[in-house]
Amino acid sequence: MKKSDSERKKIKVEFRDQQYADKVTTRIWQETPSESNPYVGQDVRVHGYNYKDLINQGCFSDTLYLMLVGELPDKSRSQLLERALCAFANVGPRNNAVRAATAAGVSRAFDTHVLPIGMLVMGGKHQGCGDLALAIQFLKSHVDTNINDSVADALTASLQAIATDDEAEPKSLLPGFGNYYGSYDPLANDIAECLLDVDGDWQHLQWAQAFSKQLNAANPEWHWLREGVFAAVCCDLNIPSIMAAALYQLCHAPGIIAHGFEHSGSPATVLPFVSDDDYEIK
Amino acid sequence: MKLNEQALLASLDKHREKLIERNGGWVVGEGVFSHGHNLLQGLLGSKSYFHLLILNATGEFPEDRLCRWLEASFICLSWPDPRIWCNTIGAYGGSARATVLASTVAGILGSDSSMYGTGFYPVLVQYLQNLLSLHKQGMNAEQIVDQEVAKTKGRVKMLGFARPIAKGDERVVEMLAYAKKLEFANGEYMTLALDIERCLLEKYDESLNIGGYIACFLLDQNFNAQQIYNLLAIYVNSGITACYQAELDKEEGHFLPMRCDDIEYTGPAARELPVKS
Repeated sequence: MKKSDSERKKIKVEFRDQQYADKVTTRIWQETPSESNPYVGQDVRVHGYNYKDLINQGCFSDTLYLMLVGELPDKSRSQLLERALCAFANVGPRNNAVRAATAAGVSRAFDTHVLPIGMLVMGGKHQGCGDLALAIQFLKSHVDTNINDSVADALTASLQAIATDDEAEPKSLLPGFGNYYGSYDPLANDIAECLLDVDGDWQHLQWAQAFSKQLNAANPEWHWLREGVFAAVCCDLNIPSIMAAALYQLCHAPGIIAHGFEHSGSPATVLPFVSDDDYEIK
Repeated sequence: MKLNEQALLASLDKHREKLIERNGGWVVGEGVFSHGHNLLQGLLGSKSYFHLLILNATGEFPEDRLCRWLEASFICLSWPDPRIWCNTIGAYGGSARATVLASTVAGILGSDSSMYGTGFYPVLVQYLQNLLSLHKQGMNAEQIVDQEVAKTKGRVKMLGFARPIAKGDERVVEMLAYAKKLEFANGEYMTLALDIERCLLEKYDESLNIGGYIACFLLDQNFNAQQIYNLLAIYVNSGITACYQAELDKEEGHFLPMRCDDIEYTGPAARELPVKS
């Protein structure tokens, strides 16, 4: 040691001279105080639109888009988002997030906790949205590139990673593409086809589909994943990438709720419990 | 089916309906075990909760003084001040009459942040490892500071140094003294960090922060990034609960209540919905 910490210079702790905002600002929500109570709002507008008009004349997906992007979607975007909300509404009872919610429901976790529990686990990188921002980044940086070159680069990088025994799994090199349990995901392809069936100029979805096909031709175990399809949808809908993972979680809420509460009135024995014989301590 | 796919399926099948190669668990009628230690007939009554925390988080049974050090570091990170972001979340939970668990867990999640708190550690650890690597390649502390500060256009944004809201970090002073009392010597990470701090203080009046201190200390104890993340996962919890309870003691909705005109609207002017074709 050069100097002991006893020689450490005495440090003065003081507030930084930073200017914090005087008020909270928002571009989203406008309300006027009621005449009788300044804490109660009325005449609400969302991005300028009367909230009652949105409730009466709009739909959930358009309102959602308005909240996230600041403008109402055009007809084709509205249809794409509506279809995506349907396509990603559930991943089934084998998904870790759904199973977490189911375990919570069966074990009588408070009803307010079941959905957040599932959504939190859905934030993981394995069959969740943990790599969604990276998938969006990948698509945006490659959408104008030659697909053959991109596939070749991707395969070379993955082979190098395997050869050098990189800790990263090969699929993480191509966020949004890869395989589930060693095989490509047919449901992701089905979902993508349904989404691409919506009329519109879906530059990212189309590029990703072509890329995925080439990737699959080079390596039959690889294709795009559901997260990759969702990433392409977010790009084509101009959803800010920082919001994409949260939107993915929200989309999956119906399935998490449905499965999470499916057995909630049943005894805990409704789910399997690993016996001592099948529980092995090292 | 390719060979690697077959191997993967075989591995998955091996784990179906079985929990194998566990580090511990409950053997009904015998006891509860963690990494070979009997919790109820070994640790209970003779060791602290922090022994178990370190054992579960790292798989290694700690010496007593490490538990005392970690406990002290938890005290440094659990302040009952609702102005700190994770505590703010807990206070909103209390104000909204959410449960203490929902509020505390929500606050802990808030600290899984890239700006501060526990979520910051994996990146911080990697950064400190890079700094030590540069040092071992021949750069001294001053050269490292010059290089890093140049990357951020002359502003000190070195991870583990400086701090939001305030300058200086009183917790580092206390923890350095306590570690010394526990007879922990500074290892290579801490030595370099204090050298860097001397340069930063001299040139920029910035110093080592508590996150940097804790990461350096635990790296010097040979813990890896994930182990450090595990160890610190909930270290803000008590401060959050304190802020939750403070709001529970008041009338509901009394944590920084807002009038409608406390919000400044900056969005588009009133407009009509387009007519649907």
